[in-house]
Order: sequence, then C-alpha cells, then structure tokens
Amino acid sequence: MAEPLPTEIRRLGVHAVRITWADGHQSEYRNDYLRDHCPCAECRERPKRSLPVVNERRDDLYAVQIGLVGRYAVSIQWSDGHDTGIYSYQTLRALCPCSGCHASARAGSVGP
Amino acid sequence: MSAIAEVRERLTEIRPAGLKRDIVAAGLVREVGVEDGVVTVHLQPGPLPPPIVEATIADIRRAVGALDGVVRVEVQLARGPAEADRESLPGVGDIVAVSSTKGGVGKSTVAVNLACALARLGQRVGVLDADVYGPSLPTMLGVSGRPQVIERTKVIPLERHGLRVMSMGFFLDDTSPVIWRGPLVTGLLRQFLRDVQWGELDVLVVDMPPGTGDAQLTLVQQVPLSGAVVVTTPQAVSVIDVERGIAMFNQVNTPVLGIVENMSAYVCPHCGTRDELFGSGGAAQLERAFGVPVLGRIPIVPAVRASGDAGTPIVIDQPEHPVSRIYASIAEQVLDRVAAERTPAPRIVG
Repeated sequence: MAEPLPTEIRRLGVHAVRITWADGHQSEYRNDYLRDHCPCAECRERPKRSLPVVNERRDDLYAVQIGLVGRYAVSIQWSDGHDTGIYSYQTLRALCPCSGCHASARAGSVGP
Repeated sequence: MSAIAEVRERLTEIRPAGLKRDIVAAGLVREVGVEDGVVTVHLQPGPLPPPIVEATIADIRRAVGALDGVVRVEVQLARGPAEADRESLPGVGDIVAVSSTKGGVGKSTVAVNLACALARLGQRVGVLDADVYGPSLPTMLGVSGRPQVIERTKVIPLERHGLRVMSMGFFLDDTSPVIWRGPLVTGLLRQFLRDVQWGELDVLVVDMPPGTGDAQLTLVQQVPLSGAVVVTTPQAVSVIDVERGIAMFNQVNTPVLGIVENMSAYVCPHCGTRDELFGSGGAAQLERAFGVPVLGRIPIVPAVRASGDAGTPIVIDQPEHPVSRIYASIAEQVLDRVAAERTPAPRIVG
C-alpha cells in the first residue's frame, strides 16, 4: 500500500484527534466530523435508508478509547456508545480536513 | 456473590455525563480490589474532562461506600491509555499467516513444515491452527489431548517437535463435523487469540482457514500480522484465487512475504522422471503481476504426505531430504522478509 502510515495518533483534549503521518503531514479531525464519517456498515447505510443523520456540532462527543486494528486501521469508541467503526489509515488520510488535502481532493474529483 | 462482583455491579450504575454507557461497559474500570473492607477501584478516565472525572469519583465513593462492610473506598486514576491492553499477543514477536484462498493446496502441510524449519533455525515457534472448520494440525503433528486450562481462562498450548501448538481440533471429537456460523467463528478466534498463553515466542505461524471470509478478517483485525505466506498450486484456477488473497492482504496493509508453490511437479520415485501434473509457471506469473517473490517450489513427493499422516513433518523426519532443504530456504527468506517489512505501530497518546 502506497498510502502513508500514521506514526502518532493523539487525542487533543475532548474535541479532536490529531494524526501525524510518516510523511510528516498532520491531520486534525474534530470528533463530530470523524463520528459523522464513521465508515461502519450501519452508518454508511443510514443515508440510503433515510434514517435521521446526526450532522450537527456536538461539543460533548469524545473518543473514549482508540485501539489499533491489525496494521491498517484504528477503532474508536465514542462517548455516545458507538464503537463499530473501523477507520482505515487510507480512509483517515482521505478524510483529512486541512485545506491542502481538501483542495487536492476536489481537484482530483473534477469529472467531465 | 463475591465482594468484587458486588462492587462491580455497583459500578455499572455509574454513568458520567456525556457517556452513553456505564463506566464498566465503557471499559473505564481497570481493576477492582477488596481487602479488609478497603475497596480499591482503578479507573481509566480516558479523555473524560476533569470536572466529569471528579464527579465520577464522587459517584463511585458514594455507590460503593453504601455497600455493607465497606470501610473505605479508594479510587486510583490510571494515567494515559494502557499500552499493554493494545498488545494483542504479549510475548509473541512476529506473526506469520500461512494462507490460501483455495482449499486442498497443502496449506497446512506447508504451515507445519515451515514452523518446524523455523524451529530448526533456532527460533522459538508456535503454531496456531486457525482453520476452525477443518483443523488438521493435530494429525500432521501427531499431537492430541486437551490443553491445560489454568486460572479459568488461560489455555496452555501443547508441545510437540519443539513447537507450541494450539488447535481447535484439541477441543473437538475426531469425527464430529464443525458447523459454525460466521459470528461464532469470529468469537471463537477472538477468544483463542486472547486466552492462549504462548509465552515468549519469536514467531507464531498461523495456519489460516482457506478463503477470504469472516475468519480471515478477524485475524487481520485482531492481530498485527507481520506478513503472509500464500500457498498455491501451479494451475491457473488456483493462481486466480491467489490474486484475491493477495488483494485482501493489500487492503489490510499486511505484506505478502511470498508465494510457496506446492505440488509443483511429480518426481517419479522409480525412474526419476519429472511430471508437471498441474502445469507450470503459475507462481512465476504472480511474481510478475504483483511483485511478490516465489519463496520455493515444493514437488509432490510421497514422503511428504506419509510423514504428515504419521504426525512427523518431513522437515523433522528427514531433515536432509531435498524437500526439507527447500523448507529451510523458505524459512530463511521468511525471516529476512519479515525483518525487512517491520514497521513500528503508531503511538496512541493523549
């Protein structure tokens, strides 16, 4: 896999998680942003089945525990009780909200 | 109910603000001790904000203090995430999966002989038979009996040919079929990985169940595999399946250490004629397509099967046999490749 791997995963207080990548890049994710992008089957299916989406700012949401999954992902146990999401490093890198990554993601997705 | 269980039950009533589960369910209670009426609760506050931690401690004191016979309640805070909890297999160095996406290619034979060859190189080796549907390691290694269970949940592996061995087969009758639903297999493997006391090992060889299903996913998720050895036979259908296997390992960032081409040719024991029963060049084709090296080609030799059935792998039974030499070379390459692919796991802090 060509994707860079994280060297450090740090909880920034109760609001965010920061990942330092092997290529030196740093990604900072707000907890509610990560939670809303939970890649588990239940969360991914939710929009299709028109269940309510929890897309709101929640200041009391935090990562209770972060664990490694094999050598490709982390699992996050959220304070709202949800813990089935497995965030692969690839997904996390793609989710990086920094302006540089976002711009290149948009540029890459421009279609005909 | 024991005093500790009583305290734990009380702790399940405590739910800090912002947390949807009680502190026990959320895994925040590390340990509970009771001695002469003094209760000690080790709390892992995680990222709980300080005011909530204070309130939680007060709740614990109140709830536990109300129990009969409790003189004092001490709450100790564990700082930072417990690293030991993340290490899924303490004491185990590298974990090498022997895998095939197709059944019947001799994966288990390769796994036991590779394990024996690694042991002959001076490594401390364990073998986990993760093929829960058709465990064959007990037969191939000539080992049977129930493993000893100590302290209720710790399972001690059996020893044979200098290997520490654990197999689902040890817990089954010889003839009963294994019918497991996916979630059961997952749960069983998890328990196996958690409860088996391997002790200090340099290498753990995992004989994977064939395919790319629940059992394989559980393994790659639960244990940081150092790498995988993919076993195949030379014919095209087998090769296509191997591509799937390689793709699976790529997805979970597990290096494929190499391919072992099994049953690569039949050498007639009477006239020495070499016959490529299953065609040739399959592994070489994969090597070109995926850049994965071929670690060895193992011919069909009746002695390999005979030794397997007799419970003494050929590497042990006839160490100077040409096939045993191939395994020795495979073992050396596996160690080299594992060392080359070693990447440190990310630190989790804060």
